[in-house]
Amino acid sequence: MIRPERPPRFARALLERALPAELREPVTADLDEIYGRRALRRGVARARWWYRAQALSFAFRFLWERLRERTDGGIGERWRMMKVPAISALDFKLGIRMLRRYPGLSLIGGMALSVAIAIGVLTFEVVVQELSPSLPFEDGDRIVRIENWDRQAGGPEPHALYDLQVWQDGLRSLEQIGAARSMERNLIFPEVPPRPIPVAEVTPSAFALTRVPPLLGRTLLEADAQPGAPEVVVIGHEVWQRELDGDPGMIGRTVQLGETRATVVGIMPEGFGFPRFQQAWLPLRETVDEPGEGPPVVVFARLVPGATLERARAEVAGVGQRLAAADPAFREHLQPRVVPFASAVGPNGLPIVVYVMLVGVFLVLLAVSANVATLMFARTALRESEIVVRNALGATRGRVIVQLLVESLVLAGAATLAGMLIAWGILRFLWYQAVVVRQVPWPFWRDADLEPATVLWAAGLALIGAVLVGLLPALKATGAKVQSGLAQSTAGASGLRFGGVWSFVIIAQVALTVLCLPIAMGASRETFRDHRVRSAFASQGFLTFEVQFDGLREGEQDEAPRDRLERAHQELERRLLAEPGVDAVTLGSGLPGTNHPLRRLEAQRGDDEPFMVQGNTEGRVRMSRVTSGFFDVFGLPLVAGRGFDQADLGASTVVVNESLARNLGGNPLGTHVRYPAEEGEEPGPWHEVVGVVTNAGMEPTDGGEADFIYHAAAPFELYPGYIAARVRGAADGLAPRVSSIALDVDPALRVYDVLTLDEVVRRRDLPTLVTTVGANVVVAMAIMLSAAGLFALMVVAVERRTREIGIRLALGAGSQGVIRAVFARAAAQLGAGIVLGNLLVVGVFRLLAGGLQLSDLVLPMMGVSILMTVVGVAACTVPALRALRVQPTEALKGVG
Amino acid sequence: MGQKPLGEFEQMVLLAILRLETEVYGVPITEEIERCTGRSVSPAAVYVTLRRLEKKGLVHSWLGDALPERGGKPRRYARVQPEGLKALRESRRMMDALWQGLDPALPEPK
Repeated sequence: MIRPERPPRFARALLERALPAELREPVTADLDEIYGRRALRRGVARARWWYRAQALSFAFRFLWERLRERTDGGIGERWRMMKVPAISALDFKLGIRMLRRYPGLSLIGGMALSVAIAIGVLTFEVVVQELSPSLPFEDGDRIVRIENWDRQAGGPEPHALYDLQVWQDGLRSLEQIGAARSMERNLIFPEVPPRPIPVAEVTPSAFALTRVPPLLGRTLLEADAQPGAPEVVVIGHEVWQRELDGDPGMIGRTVQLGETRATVVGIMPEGFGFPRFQQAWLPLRETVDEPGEGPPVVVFARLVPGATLERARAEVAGVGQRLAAADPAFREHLQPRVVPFASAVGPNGLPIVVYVMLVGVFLVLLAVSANVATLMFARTALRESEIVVRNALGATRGRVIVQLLVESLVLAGAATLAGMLIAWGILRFLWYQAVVVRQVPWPFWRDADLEPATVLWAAGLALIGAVLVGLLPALKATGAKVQSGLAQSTAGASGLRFGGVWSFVIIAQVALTVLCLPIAMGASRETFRDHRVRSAFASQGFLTFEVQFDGLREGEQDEAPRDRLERAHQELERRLLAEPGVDAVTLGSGLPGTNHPLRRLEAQRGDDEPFMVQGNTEGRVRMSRVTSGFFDVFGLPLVAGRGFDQADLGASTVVVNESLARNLGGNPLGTHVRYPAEEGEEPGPWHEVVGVVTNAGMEPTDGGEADFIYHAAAPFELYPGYIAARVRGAADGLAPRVSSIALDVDPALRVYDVLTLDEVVRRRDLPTLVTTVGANVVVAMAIMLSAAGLFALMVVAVERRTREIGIRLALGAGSQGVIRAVFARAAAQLGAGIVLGNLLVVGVFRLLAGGLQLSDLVLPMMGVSILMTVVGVAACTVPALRALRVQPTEALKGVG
Repeated sequence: MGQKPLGEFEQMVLLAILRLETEVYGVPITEEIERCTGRSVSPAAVYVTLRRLEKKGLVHSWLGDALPERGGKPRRYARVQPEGLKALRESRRMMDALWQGLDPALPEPK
């Protein structure tokens, strides 16, 4: 029977936490039973939603049951004896009513809080998924990785096959110790377009370790891993469904992976991708006799029942000491360790950037909450008479504070739900872009749902936000002056004032907005400029793809695979040129519009002293390696000297673009350049500049096109590399045939990302565009908060001085005089914020861009100041009109 | 007049257990109530009610053997206790007493 995929992880985790211990196993198994039936009858997607709903239902019902049991005595009694004001459902009803009664505050405050919480949730989710991921297997937290950490290289020493054998024989606290070697191979099957898929050669213990039974057939056995055994393969669910049509008759049929033909013996269920994102598993047969030999592998194991991680670590450390004593030279920098399998934490613990990110999240929440608290305080000020009367009727201060806090909690709770939805939506979008659009391999233990820990974190942020937003206004509103407030409220005036704290918050908000606006505007200008410039390149006529070659390691010195690759590349080029419409083909380490590495450059003219070249991208130049026809194919004419020919392969010659030629100064031909020493290494050899090529116009910087230096390279030096075919007519018409052509030439050639060049540019720019739009949303929110804060200040000012306004109007004061008198303070705060913000702009730009002239900032600063003034005045308009509508007779009666 | 009368859903759960006779655990109890009443039933409501009934001494539950087809997890079976039967009969008697003399089809209100 084919079993459907596992239930949603978060819902499952919530269920297990909500259930009492004695019900956990039977109830989860019962729900799995119903889930399985629903998935088969109504589809997996609907079954997953049903499961989530059940998890929430169980959580709520069992929590309520526990509360009922406890409040019947015990904790409920103790709570009442402490005289802590009880929270009732009525408080929540009032909180919801307040949201409806003040829609402006609810909308603005809620939106601001939801954005802050979304940022917090996303940050935490990334941290949790990167640093503390859980494997979706039975007792998945007991699956570990064993590795030798190279302290010098700052990463694991990957050639661990020798140590695998030692660990298998010598460790007692770990079982099912095995290894996996990851690679990519073309999947070749009749009438199926070939496609590279992630493959693993594994020891058969991998399947016993994960305890995941196959969907069909069997997994690998020890017999399969013996030398000379027939070649067999287990296929992943995604490949089985997508490439092999989900054919249940696949068992026993033969597929080809690269050059290996293997019989399919099993199909794994959906979601299985151990060790990372693999979709086919071959037996690992390689053994070695010496440490450091063999291919790179990852070693995994499971803690035996009763063993702890600490005990396993101690045991592995002991074995490591014995190995080090036997071979000190090889193991001098190696530190054996045992870590949770999917953990990315190094031996030095969490990187400092994680702590900085989490602190940043709190600062954002603090800043936003302070602003929303201003709005809450204004709202509370308008309800002062209500609070005073409640106090007079016997409500304790604590009762009123609890009610105001619950109102804040309702706002923060609604904002948290919205924030989590926003974060979940962004995660889904990123997942879709990565997995579906770009087909980037995605670790199987990660999904686009929020982790349970993240949901708890969001709940924590909601509580913190509620306290930040509601506590201070509540304390102020119920302070010692409440009694005197009773007298003032009957006189038509308010006792609550916008004191120093709130004034500071408003000024700071306006100042920060003034600071952020030019930065956001500058970043936006740059982003859209870059996209516009790159889009202007005639990129429609190029079809591009990345190409890799099985078995060719970077820096390969062995001639046999290099010769084979050269022949394969020449044949591939010939076959592409034979395609209709293709009139040129070239190969490079990058393409116009893709990222190129940045390098420092040193130059020397004749016998003059060498000098450092100040490249126009972070002080560096971009480096590219290309075959000889590269410039012709992309229509980049030479403006001086010559291009590359066969004689330049292996020679010390380079070509530079116009930008770099201008930077070098004078006539660049004959100038010698080299890459200076980096971190204890020797400097590179000198190269002579033999040509200057026109700028491609695809890498804009503030100083024009980026500086580029080009090296001639043979194809084997460029794999993995990018091939570009110039096509007359629609370039994407060739796309479906590229994989087949490459496979026909050599099954070891793997093709990725077959795209037109303009699609490459779009994909490159999309993340920056999305980030820029996101930043603009945050800035817009900041402007909104500034306006809301000023508006709130004005409204309270009018309420507070209603009687005074009435008297002034009765005595014949003009409208201008009234507005001037009442709103002078708000205008002062707006002005102070704008001035402070401009000072911050000057300070920050001086700090970050030392050579910037003040005159460069005048226009942007003026523009932002005018914008904030307009925003401030607009925010004051409604309260101003309200003030002018005050009837003197009504004001004098004491009715506000 | 000792124990509190059974709630409507408590009665449904007890009756479903009695109707099933064998292999009585959460899933068939839920399905039996749905089948007989024609309404959708929350499994959470069933399990909470079973727990409550057990605390009142009206139902007894026990863990069965671990089953390979359930990933090695057992079922929790339930059986109505004599006190449970007594409570059901009392609830039936109360409802019958209220229904007595009334046309089962219920006449239109005057």
